[in-house]
Amino acid sequence: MHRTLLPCLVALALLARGTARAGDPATPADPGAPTPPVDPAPDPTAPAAVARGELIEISGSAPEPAGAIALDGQVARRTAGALGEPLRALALLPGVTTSIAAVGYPIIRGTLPGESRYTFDGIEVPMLYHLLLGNQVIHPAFIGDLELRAGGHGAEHGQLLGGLISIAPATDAERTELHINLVEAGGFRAQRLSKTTSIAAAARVGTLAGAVKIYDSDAALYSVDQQTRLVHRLGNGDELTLTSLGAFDHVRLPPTPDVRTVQLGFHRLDARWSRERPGGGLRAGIQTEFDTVRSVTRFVRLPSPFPEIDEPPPRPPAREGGRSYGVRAYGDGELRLAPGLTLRAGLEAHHRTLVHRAPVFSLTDADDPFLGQADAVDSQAAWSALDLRIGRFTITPGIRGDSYHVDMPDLSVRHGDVDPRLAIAAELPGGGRAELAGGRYSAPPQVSVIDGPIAIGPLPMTEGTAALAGLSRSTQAQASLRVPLGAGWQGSFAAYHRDTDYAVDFGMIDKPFTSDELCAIGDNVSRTLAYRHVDVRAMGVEAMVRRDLGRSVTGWLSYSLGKIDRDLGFIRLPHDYDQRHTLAASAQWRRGAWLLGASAQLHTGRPVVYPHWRQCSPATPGFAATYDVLSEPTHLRRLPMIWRIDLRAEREYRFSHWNLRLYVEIQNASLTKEVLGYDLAREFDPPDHVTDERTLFIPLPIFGLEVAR
Amino acid sequence: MKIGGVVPLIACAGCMTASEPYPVVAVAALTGGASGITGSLEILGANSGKSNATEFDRRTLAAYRVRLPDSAPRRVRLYDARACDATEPLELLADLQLIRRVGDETHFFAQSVLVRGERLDVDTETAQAFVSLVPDTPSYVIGKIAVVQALDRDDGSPGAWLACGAFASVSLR
Repeated sequence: MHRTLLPCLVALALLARGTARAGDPATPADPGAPTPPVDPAPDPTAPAAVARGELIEISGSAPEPAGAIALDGQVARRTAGALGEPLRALALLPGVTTSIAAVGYPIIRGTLPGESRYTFDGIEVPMLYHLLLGNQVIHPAFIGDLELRAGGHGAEHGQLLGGLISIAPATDAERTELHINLVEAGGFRAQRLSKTTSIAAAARVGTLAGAVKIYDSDAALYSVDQQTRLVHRLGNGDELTLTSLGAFDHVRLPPTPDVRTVQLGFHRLDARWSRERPGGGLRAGIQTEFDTVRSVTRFVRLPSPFPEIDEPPPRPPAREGGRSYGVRAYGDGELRLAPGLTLRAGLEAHHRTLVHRAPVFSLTDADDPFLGQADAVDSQAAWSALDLRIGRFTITPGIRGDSYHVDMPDLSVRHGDVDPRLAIAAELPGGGRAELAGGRYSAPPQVSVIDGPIAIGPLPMTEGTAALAGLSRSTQAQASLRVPLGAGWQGSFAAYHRDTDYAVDFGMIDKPFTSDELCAIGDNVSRTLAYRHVDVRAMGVEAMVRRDLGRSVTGWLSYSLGKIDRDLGFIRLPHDYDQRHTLAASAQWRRGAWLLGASAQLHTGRPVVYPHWRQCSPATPGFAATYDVLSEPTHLRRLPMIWRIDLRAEREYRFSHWNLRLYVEIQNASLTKEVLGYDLAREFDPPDHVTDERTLFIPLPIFGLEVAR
Repeated sequence: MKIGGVVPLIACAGCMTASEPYPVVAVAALTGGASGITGSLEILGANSGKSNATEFDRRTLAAYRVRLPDSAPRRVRLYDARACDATEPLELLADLQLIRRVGDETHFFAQSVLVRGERLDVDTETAQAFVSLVPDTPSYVIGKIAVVQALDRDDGSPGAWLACGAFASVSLR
């Protein structure tokens, strides 16, 4: 679906839904939503924009391309295991997994989470969760559909090696929602201000501040976010959109006695003009960006046990991170050149200034100048694609050029690349769709932070980091097929291949090789990191069957088979996220006022470093035995297969003007322990060392209520 | 913001432009006489915003611009000596391990890395060593020599000197 066509079709779909809704208790897409008022006023954008005599098919929603998977935001929100957050439901889609169960950062076809992009109505979201691991930074009610495209992106998408998660705004139907659960409280309101203007606003605040104060009065934990979207339709059918997205966290850790304070947040303000006409469309916008990641550690001096000795001067606070300010201007459009021939093109320019000190995420611990942070980033892009429709086929050749200029502390670097793309889509008899898509893709290094078993990304304040190392380049191809199976069921299938030469593989930064040998004597030991110019090859197949929305039972079953290898030049290793088999299922069952849900995941284990050890000398009278341990990246073992079941139950109470929903959700209701890795443990009786499994066990219950009208 | 770069890029479909600058704070110009080894060994800046004129600190060294006559490995060491004709036993400042020609560049290699039980020389491109750029501090490297040597002898003693040069400071930007 062309992005520039989407608002037009949404408007048409809304009109159609509005007509169908009269007298209906709820829309199929949101079975629990209260009946919104029907606005009898004509939408100035829809019928007026349609040329007389032209046939337009209104299907209720834009057909998704075969290479993408769309997920209704309200279904995603009510998916068991998602904890009320649509982004977490992505982990149940084919090709997607997470580093550990409780972490919602999608690993899409083995790419680290920072290599994927998350956009809200085309606005890039630089962080997904509060406090990195908390609740998501966008109110669930503010979200319409989510679309996952795991690869084979068109020319309109650049600086992207992983997946693209596009979040569409919720429809502008008037509604209000208040909710509270164990970790947050929030509100959402969508309202028509006039016949031509509507606004949607949401805000949330974390509710753990009080509990943290009880735990330690010197600690603090605050998180807030807000989203606002103002849409104004001009008399000629053009549309002006103003969108504000922001989230901010403030944490003061319990004193150790040093006091560390961390602030994390972002804000995006996007102003956009768009014009849709039957013969084409235009869109232009400008966006301001503000990111902050700051850590300040104030050192507390304890009373000296030797007061007679002069104390050294107090240490100044250690400051890490900083702020960044950016502006992005963009414009794109499409023009129907002839029947069956449409030209699409776009331009984009972006500037970011970063004001910072040492990086918070310890990226330059290696003192490698190639991992240096940027002081300023300028990037420009131009792209063009041609949609050539021949019978049932649409052939879309495209080309994209990107240019980057990165100012770093010691020097400036400039990179550029031109990437050709090609997609061939076909409409199959019986309503099926097929697509072949691929091309070349390039991007500057995109940071993911690997902390033990957890992979986190994207992260604010990391743009331009490691630009000195060059661009990562990828060649991708994917074949996709989607067919209706009857009785509301739909099947989809995809096969892909991706070969990426990473300028920096952030997944290898924590994996040193060594020249050490177990029990070797000598100090001439070297530790070697191999994270530059790493080739990663991924291939796999994915299948999914799902049942449409609007039925009493809806849901999906997905299976992924993947093989992902790292080629370091001197050795080929399985990738950290080389999870061969992944099976996921999710179902929602509406029965009266109850909405019951269950999700299940099963995946085979991924490879992790397995420590090996040896006894160097036996115990002798008066001396314990000595041991040596080595953890090196080639000594791997696959974690055991893991499975998990999540459950959710929701009860709705309807009143004359409002609804109350109470819900309970239990993540990991199967009480499964997840093995995260292996450690060496010492046993004393008899004295020996054993390799122990490091496990995570989080059966996470959550309760909440929503009030909606 | 600069927009001018986009148009030539479009004309250059399928190709790429990539500059490979890196920050250099000190250079040792190697002279090797008959060995045919020339070029410069470079100490790179931290590129992290902190001062490059720091005391004993881990620094990255590059041999990209060292020219080797063949693909045979050589050893690189830094010595606490101010002239390449120094003869007395020299104090070692840092052992940077191996350099080898890779394409038209020279890379550092980590020697004898254990990879699945086998010992391999691993291309690390650059090497790291703890040295100082502040005068009158331990391991001060400016004015001291970098030596390209033949591989160590079987008895473990250092190989013959093949090329040598003293580090001189370079101002960034």
